[in-house]
Amino acid sequence: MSAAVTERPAVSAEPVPERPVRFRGAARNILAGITAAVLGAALWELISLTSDGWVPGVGEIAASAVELLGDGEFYGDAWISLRRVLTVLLAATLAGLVLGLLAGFSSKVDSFLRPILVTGLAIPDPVYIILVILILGISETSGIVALTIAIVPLVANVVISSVQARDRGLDEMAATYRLSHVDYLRHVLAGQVRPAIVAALRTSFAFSWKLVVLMETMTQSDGVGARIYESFRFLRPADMIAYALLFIVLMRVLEMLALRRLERSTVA
Amino acid sequence: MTAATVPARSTRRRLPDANRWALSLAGIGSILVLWAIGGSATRYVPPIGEVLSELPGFLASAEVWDAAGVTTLRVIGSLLLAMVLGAAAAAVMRRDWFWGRVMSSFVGFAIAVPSTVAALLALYVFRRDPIGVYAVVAFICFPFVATVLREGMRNLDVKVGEMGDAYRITGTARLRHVVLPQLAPYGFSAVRNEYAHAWKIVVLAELFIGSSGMGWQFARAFDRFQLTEVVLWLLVFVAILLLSEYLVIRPLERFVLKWRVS
Amino acid sequence: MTTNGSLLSGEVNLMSNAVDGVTPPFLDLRDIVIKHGDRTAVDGVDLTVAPGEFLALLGPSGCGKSTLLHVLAGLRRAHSGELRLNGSPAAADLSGKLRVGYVFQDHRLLPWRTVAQNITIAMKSAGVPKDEWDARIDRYLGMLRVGEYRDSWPMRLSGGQRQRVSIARALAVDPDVVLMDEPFSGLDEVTARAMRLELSRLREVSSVPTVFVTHSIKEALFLADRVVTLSHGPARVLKELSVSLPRPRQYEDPEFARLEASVVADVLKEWELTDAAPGAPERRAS
Ligand SMILES: Nc1ncnc2c1ncn2[C@@H]1O[C@H](COP(=O)(O)OP(=O)(O)OP(=O)(O)O)[C@@H](O)[C@H]1O
Ligand SMILES: [Mg+2]
Repeated sequence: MSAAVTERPAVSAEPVPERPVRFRGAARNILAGITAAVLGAALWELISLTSDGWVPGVGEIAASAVELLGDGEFYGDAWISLRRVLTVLLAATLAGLVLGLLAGFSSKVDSFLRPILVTGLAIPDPVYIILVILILGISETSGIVALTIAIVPLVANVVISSVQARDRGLDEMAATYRLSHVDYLRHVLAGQVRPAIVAALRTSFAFSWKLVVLMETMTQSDGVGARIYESFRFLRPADMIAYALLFIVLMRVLEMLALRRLERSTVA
Repeated sequence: MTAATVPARSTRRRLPDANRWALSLAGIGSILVLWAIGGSATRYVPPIGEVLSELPGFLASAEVWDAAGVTTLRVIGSLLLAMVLGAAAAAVMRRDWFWGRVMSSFVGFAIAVPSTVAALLALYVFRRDPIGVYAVVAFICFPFVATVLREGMRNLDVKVGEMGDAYRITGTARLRHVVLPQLAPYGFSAVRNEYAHAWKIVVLAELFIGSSGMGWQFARAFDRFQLTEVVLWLLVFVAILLLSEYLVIRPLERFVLKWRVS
Repeated sequence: MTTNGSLLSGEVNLMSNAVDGVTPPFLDLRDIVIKHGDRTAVDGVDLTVAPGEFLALLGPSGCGKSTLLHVLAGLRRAHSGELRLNGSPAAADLSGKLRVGYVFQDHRLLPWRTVAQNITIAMKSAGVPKDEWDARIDRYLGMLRVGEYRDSWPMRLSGGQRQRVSIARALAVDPDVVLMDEPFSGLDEVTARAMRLELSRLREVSSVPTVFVTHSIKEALFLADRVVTLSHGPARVLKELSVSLPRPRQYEDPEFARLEASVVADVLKEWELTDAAPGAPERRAS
């Protein structure tokens, strides 16, 4: 008497997520994207229907977006906002990187900076904007200074943990083989700090453009944030959402083009 | 987790405690010095002395504690909501390939929505109802939670899972003893980051939406140009955040993760 | 094949793998094939485990030993072949049919639970009655000389101590079979020797059938009642050898050395030749 084992795929202990072959994978990727968009639109339509007329439907928003793109109104403000985002991004990344590297490598600097960073992180963003405006007056510069100050602690924190998580074993190796400072920097440290730089860029990008919108809402008369607030006040919700959507898409595309590539090249 | 994958505590040489404290105090001191300079250089920033003299009276008023209580409740409630939503999203992203892709597009989109936009939208949907504050904070925080937890689920240790299979540890025991402890460090990291984040968003949301809470008080004081009050609110805010971090979150984390050996 | 070991031990013919007519073997594997996807890891293995027997599976790295243990533990299904449990056919796989004590190469204790909790969790899942838990924990930790670490975190123990706890856990669940996958290969030689001695002493107290995977010939001969030698991957059975040396055994015993030399002579050619063979990339399972 024997029970032959029937042909069945082997089950491993932890089910490995199914990996579709490449071609089918690409198709399914697109399908997933479309599904997400359709579901999102349907959900939005539902909210719009249940609200008492204040939340515009998908059609209205789309029409508004087409109009904004068509008569070119969007581009000027988007460019202004983008310039601000890039300025803040650059300033915050540089400052955060310098502070983070210093604190990551020196526990003295770390001890000194820690309470300042923690306090900095705890202060709400609008407060920075308000305080800097009180001190420097309303101007383009004061907004950018405020945002830089608001973002630096976030960036510095990410850099510090990244530096402190570096492989101490490699430090020891470098010490035993008496690597010169230059070689240490080039061969041991650079490889380990690069992820910190990417992390710093990602963090400051993610926050800088969201805060630029806030800052423009509160203090500026131009830029996407200002347009969003203006549409809000003049009760044009479709315009408001269209502005926000277009800018979100722009930022996501930029992120994908720039940051993803950067990350890939440093990981490889 | 095996020995190799348990993040070891930093083995770095530490400064003597006294020195560290001295340096930290110097750090706090430098904030105060900056404030003092700012206070004397411009007439808008209230001087330290004035703020401190008004502090006792400010803290004695019931209104302040009411506003702080209301806002704290909102933070905790919406953070819980964000954690639940984030965990669910992470589970979907982990479980199913197709719906995981769909979910991660949603999360990627949600992470890109500026809180200002979310707050203004909530005004349209919920009017001035405080539900809007919950919605805004939960919506802004949940994608971050989802990202962190997905990372945790991705790093679940296959070897420990195999052990669980061999000893047939299943159901709730599996969850309690095998899965959740591995997710706990990620959960804490999510809570810690998003708690601070939630506070900042709540203030922003109340600024736009609210008719109560600290953010609204903030905005009102600023509108009336009572800058001393603005700074007092700021002090209360920072104090709450720091106290809860050091008195609640860190001790809790140390307790739950005490198995990690120094 | 040389047969100079036959003076000391009875050699079992591959073809007639009956143990002794009357009692059916506890476990009986016939022509078991196991695959990872399309790759064959185990290619038609015949194997029996007698009740109470300590069986060593000896094979080169990557030959499929761990994979075979996974099937015995019910963690994975065989692709084809026959499995019998106490003489009656067990269907496709063993999951749920056997209570298994598994000792992995690395300890695989839950680092976030104490030593005692680790054992308790396994016992609870195995359905050991609650009122026995405490006594069992004490008994097996004591037997493995780690009783004092009952309430410690696993990461506070040394590698050898962790492996002792892991063995205690395997025994505490009251297993039908104990599976050990190179449990001492991560330890230093002195500790490993002490652990082997401990394990062979344990055999005097408990006689749970045990399948012990190793690639150390010395270890197999020191511990096992019977040694099954496997080919390079995909694994086939090369040879079976009953070891009838008296216990406690000693590595320095001349008979032990002779037996070892004969096994080395048997497998050397096979393993060496085939290890370098193309198409046999070496990859660790876990
Ligand atoms: N999850 C897996 N997926 C695909 N192939 C695998 C997997 N696990 C193991 N293999 C392959 O199966 C073969 C046998 O692996 P196995 O782990 O059983 O070897 P082993 O005899 O235990 O080796 P070692 O002594 O090094 O532990 C190897 O060639 C390995 O590459
Ligand atoms: Mg193995």
